[in-house]
Amino acid sequence: MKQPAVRLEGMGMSFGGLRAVSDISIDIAVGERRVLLGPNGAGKTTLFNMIGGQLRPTSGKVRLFGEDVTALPPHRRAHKGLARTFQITSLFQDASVEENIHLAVRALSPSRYGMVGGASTRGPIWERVSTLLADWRFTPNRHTRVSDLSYGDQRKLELAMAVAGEPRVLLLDEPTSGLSAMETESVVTLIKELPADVTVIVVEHDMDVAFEVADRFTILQNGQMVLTGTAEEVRNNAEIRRIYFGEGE
Amino acid sequence: MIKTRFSPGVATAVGTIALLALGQGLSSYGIGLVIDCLVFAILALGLNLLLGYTGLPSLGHAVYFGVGAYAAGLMYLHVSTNFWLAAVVAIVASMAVAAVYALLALRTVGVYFLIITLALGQITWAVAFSWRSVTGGDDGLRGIGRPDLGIPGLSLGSTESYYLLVVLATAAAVCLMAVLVRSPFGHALRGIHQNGPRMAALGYNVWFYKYLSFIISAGFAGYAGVLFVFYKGFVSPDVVGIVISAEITLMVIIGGAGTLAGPLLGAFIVILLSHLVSGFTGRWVTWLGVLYVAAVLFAPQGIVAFVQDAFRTRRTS
Repeated sequence: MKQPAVRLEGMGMSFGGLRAVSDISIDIAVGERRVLLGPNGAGKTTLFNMIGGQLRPTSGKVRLFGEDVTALPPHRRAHKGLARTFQITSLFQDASVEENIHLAVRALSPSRYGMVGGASTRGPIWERVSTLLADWRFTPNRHTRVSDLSYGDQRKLELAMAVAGEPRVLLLDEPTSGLSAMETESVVTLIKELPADVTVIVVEHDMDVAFEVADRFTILQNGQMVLTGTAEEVRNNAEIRRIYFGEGE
Repeated sequence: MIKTRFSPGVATAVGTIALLALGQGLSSYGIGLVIDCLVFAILALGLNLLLGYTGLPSLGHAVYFGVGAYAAGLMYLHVSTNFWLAAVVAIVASMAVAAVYALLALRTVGVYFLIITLALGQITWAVAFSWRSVTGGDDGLRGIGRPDLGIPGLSLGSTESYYLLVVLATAAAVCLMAVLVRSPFGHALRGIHQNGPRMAALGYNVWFYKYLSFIISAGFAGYAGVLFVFYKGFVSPDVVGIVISAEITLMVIIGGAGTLAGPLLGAFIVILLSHLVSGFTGRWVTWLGVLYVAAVLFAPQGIVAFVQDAFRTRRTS
């Protein structure tokens, strides 16, 4: 069998006495689009932070393409092809759109430690920045300060920065939250247009979005995995309908 | 949008020429005052890399100034009177001490970082104060003369010639810093200041950037220490103390943290004001406090940003 892109083995996380996540084991195949579902407090973001390295699990292991990365800090995981967005928009608010993208592109280049040449010097880094700006339709406001962007554009920029380094695994934490129907539509299109070999894990509350992008679902409740399966299985599972859709109570 | 931007290269050249011209017209007291301002300008410039660009509020930066000054003084007294050798040894010594202290300080952030750098500063002060056999204790190191430049026909004996050295040394420091903050490294520091966790998620080793920034910043302080000790001819534990640490922090904040011109301006304001106030009263530290409160109230982003904003509103209204 092919090595899964992401493998979680018995992952658990406790904050003091509170068990936020317990004993979760999941395999996510290369190129799979997996949506994590679950009510608030189910442990979705905690799980994300453990995959991204922002949190160290209290038990269990994270493997990226077979390699145990449990002990690696976030920046090391980024160099192994992992990128993410944050639930609460996490950008460089005082910097321009262009500079945000630039920092994202530069992050994986050895030149990120350069101290002599100017950061704005033309070269492959800035070619890539320009391409990304054009692809994401940011060229007209490339010099706009991020704090002056609309919320929808900020979410879009967040996504653009996550894909800037051409990641192999992409974690998207509620990419459509707070967006209008039209903006949601365009984010869904963007996710669907990602290269087929990119593994995408999405936390999503909007069921329409979830069903549209997902190959498979993982449902969490109270920090435990309830089910992993296809859209069909999720729709037909009586217990899922009860806990997630609030039916039959 | 209108931007009031000067090329730092042009600004440095103009400033250097202006200072050299000024040197012709000033009394030797005036020249000494400007030397003081310039030495502290370099010191504040260095701290600004850490405080303004990286967002790490070190309150013990006099340590690296002091280590540089003591190291250069000891080199002169015991090893060689060559300026360059003393300067290199002193800068390396400052950076080496920073490389150790940063390991401790960077385990913390925010106000804890401030407290631990303050504590490390006091420890270093205590070492300078009590290690009599090396530092001369509270008597300090005396009898440090003007060093030898090793260039035939050039002597640093007179205040005027030393002034020339300090002006050029400051210009070099400003150029070096301008290159640094424009480099990818400098951009990364600003990113870390704004959003460290995001930088880490993108692939930047945030801790290592902070560590490098800390050490480089200390190198500038050590460089200032060298210029200071060879001008004054002596060094005492005061140089490592909390008052100087607080003064340079204030210079950076008043002038404008995270700008190139800010710390330079701040250094001139604080030093000139301290000389002015000392003419009337011995309570300089009290006035320093008043100045700080005024800066926080009226120009919290520093004078440079304050002036830029004033320009912008005038032009757009």
